[in-house]
Amino acid sequence: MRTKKVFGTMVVVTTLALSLIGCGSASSSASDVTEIEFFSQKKEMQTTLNEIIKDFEALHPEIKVKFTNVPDPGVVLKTRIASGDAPDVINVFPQNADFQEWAKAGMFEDLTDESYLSNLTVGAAESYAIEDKVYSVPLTSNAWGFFYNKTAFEELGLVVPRTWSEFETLVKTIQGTDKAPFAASLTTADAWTLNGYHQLAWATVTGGFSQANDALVRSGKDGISLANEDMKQVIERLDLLRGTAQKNANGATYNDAVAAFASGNALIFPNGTWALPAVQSQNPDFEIGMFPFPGINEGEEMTVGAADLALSISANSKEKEAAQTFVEYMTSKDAMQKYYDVDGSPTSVTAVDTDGKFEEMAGVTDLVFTEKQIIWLQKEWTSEETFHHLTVDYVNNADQQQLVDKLNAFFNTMK
Amino acid sequence: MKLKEFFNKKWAYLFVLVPILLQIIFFYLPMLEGFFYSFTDWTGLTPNYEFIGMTNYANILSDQKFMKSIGFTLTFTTALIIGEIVIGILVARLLNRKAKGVSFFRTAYFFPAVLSTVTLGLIFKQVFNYGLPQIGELLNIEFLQQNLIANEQTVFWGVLFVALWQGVAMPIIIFLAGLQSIPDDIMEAASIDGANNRQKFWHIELPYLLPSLSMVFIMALKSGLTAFDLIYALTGGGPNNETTTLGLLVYDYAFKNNQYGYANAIAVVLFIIIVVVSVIQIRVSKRFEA
Repeated sequence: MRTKKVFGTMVVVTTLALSLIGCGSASSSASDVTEIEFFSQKKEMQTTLNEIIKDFEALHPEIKVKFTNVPDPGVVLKTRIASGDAPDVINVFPQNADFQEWAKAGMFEDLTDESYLSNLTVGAAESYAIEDKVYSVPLTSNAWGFFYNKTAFEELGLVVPRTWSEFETLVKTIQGTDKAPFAASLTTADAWTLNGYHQLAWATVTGGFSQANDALVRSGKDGISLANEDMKQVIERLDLLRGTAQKNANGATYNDAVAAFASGNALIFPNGTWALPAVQSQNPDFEIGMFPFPGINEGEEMTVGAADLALSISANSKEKEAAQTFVEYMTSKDAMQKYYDVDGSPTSVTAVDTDGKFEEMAGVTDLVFTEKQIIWLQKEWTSEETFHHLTVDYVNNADQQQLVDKLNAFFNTMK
Repeated sequence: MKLKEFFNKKWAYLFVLVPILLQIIFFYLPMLEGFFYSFTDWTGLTPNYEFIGMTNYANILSDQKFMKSIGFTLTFTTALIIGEIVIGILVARLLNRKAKGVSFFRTAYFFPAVLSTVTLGLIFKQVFNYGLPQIGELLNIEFLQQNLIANEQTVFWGVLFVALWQGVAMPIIIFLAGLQSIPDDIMEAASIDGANNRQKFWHIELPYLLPSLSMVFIMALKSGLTAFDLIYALTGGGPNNETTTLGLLVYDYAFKNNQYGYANAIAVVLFIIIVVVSVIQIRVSKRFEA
């Protein structure tokens, strides 16, 4: 009887003690150190960002940065913001529909007059302004193009195409060898890999970002038709992917496509600059190069890309001052040199030394921040997934009427 | 004193209260909220939305993706029900024999049920992508050299195969239990009267299995109509939306296309379909049991 009572008391005491421990740690940190949460969507850069945060904390001992890295960050962020639990500093892509909706609804702090914006290339932040207000600090930009096997190209006497017809000839020539021209992943799950291809097909055919969106999203209900000259030419470009990818590409995942390219079986890998670390982790025994999407005439080539590491501050943040200090630090050379040296995506922070680094991607990254780079077309759409899916569906089944019907069904909801 | 009396009589309700509260908070309230949002144009991103009446429901009727999806969901469910019942009974009858090693096979056939569906989807994705084409190359069979779940014509059968591979495990156990509950003397009497195997099955075993059958029917129906995780991991709804179930369609519209209101409207339609089918099913099975 007695032991039972003692045991019961012990349980109660332990529970109370445990609950008090929880309170203790929270209150002690609040007294002298402010904590901000940094939500990242750049999984592949987690280690580097951690180092940068450590540097920052050493410089500002009064601020502690809680670094949040979760799987499927896009969906997590949506639910957190919808439930009023927005992190203080958020890595959110300003070209996407969700960011624009959030900014218009006043979810983010207005950064228009912050002095640290002058650390960036002129106009970099302004190009994502919503109603003339800056809500996002774009630090790096991704870019989409074609990785190619430079060593094999030299052995086969092939050169980088400068026009669309040269590209078609190039693909035919590679088909004559025992190699496949493209390493692609034509599954619904990894359809996003060809988003850039389809978007650049529209942009190079119509002449640019606004012209492409004129044809797609501003052409009136059911405005896309097989009779349109631009649609015909886009189909011609999509047809280049038909039957020219590695064997069983219609069931390949993103990783399979990377492997097909890195093993040297397929010579061209259509994808974005973010894919370079994945390719290099397979230790390819050849030199890698990159070229942009060729235009109809020479000099009309283009790349598509937009902000990659871009930071916003939540309007509901309780520690705005600390958040501002952190974002300001991220625009400094100290932070971004470290980031660039690993990531290699073009950066808008002017102080960063980029000379002679990441030469393999120069063919495409040289176009970034010039008029030959367009922002992802979905900047003016309400969503993009369906567009990815219909792209690979067409490459797989070649049903032109179905492609047009799906494009119309997708864009009609936005018109 | 009165309080004590009250507790003595009603204390059992306390235990029921907890699950009921949980059910209300985590099931009925979200469901009502879903009904509510199906009449709005909510994007799911910001707290702002507007009432648009029945517009979402009207749009469903002209949505080609929805039509394709409901077609696939219904055929898939039908095939799943037939497959689970037929294969389930066949295998259960085999396992009901008094043969050597039968307990090993009973375990082996149940094994798929303990695998997580997502794991299963990812494993079979690789089997279809690398395993089968390799076998096709070795044996020089043209048909097998392709990826069967990347081909619009064959993907249905590929997905159905994987769904049944795991789906029959539970029905086998249920039917086996049903078969073992048949009294031995009835079977013996039938044998003495000269009933053959087929007659025994149709006139003794099947009537005894009716309650199990109705149970398996409901399970297969539910898992077919609400199929999500296996297909999400296996095909992602592709190729060309050939395997997009209604559940997957709802997810795509809500989380990928930012059309929360519209996604909720589809979910409500799915809910109504399940209610209608369940009511019919309960009525029919009651008639048989009576």
